[in-house]
Amino acid sequence: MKNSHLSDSQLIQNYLTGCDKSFAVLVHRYKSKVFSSIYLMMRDKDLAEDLMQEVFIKFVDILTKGNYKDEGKLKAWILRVAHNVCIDYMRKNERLPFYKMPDNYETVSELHKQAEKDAESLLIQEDTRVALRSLIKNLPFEQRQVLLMRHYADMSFKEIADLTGVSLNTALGRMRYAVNNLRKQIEVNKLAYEETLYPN
Amino acid sequence: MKRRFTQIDTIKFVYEESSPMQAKMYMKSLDNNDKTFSCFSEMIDLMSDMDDVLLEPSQSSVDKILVYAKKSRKVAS
Repeated sequence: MKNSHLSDSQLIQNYLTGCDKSFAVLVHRYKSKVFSSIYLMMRDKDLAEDLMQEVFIKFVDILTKGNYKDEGKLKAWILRVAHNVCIDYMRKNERLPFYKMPDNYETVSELHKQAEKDAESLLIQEDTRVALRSLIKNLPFEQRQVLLMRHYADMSFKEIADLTGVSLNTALGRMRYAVNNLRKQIEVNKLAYEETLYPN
Repeated sequence: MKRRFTQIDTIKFVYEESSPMQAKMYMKSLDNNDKTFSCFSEMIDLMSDMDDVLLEPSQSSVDKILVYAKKSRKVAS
């Protein structure tokens, strides 16, 4: 794309002064991160499509009303909006796609039960990316939230702690559990994969 | 006494949230301590896997957004 080398701020300015292609570049730049974050959070592709549209529509409204405060952190900003849209949706629909667990609770066996069927068979039949998505989707909500915010939104642990109303140590701890759970699950599934391919 | 680095230290280092002093010490430990190094490598692998799992939304969703953006800008200007 012609404008793809421009910064987010330049693209926003161009869009507001009449260049719709600049907005298309912004959408192109962030659509997969926004969509993936919502999908992994909500675990429903159709819903993720709708909520992703809602995020970008909010962005357009804020821009055209002159309410966007450009601090050079569009990625974090838009993924924070995505997070808020998910939380609002869950509240309105009383749909909580997670179970609350103590932060220090290692969930490997529970995760395994949940992810076992789909993740194992997906690993065998398809590729590890699909399986990893499934493993992420099966993490407890709080761990998934921190992982997605830190990794895709580039939000600092301090920002995540503030946004989710927990201490910095809790945010870091949740990330640690998320990483541990994923690593252990990957190992478990890799083993299942190898045993299927190379039975004793 | 040598400092032992925890998994939280690794996470902070990988995500560039260590202080410059902590980062320096961590780098040293990466060279000298297999356990730290293996924890670091696993984290880097996981991060790169995370980057691979991104999904694309449908083109129709993208088109709807772009149509809305075009209309809204025209109305606003």
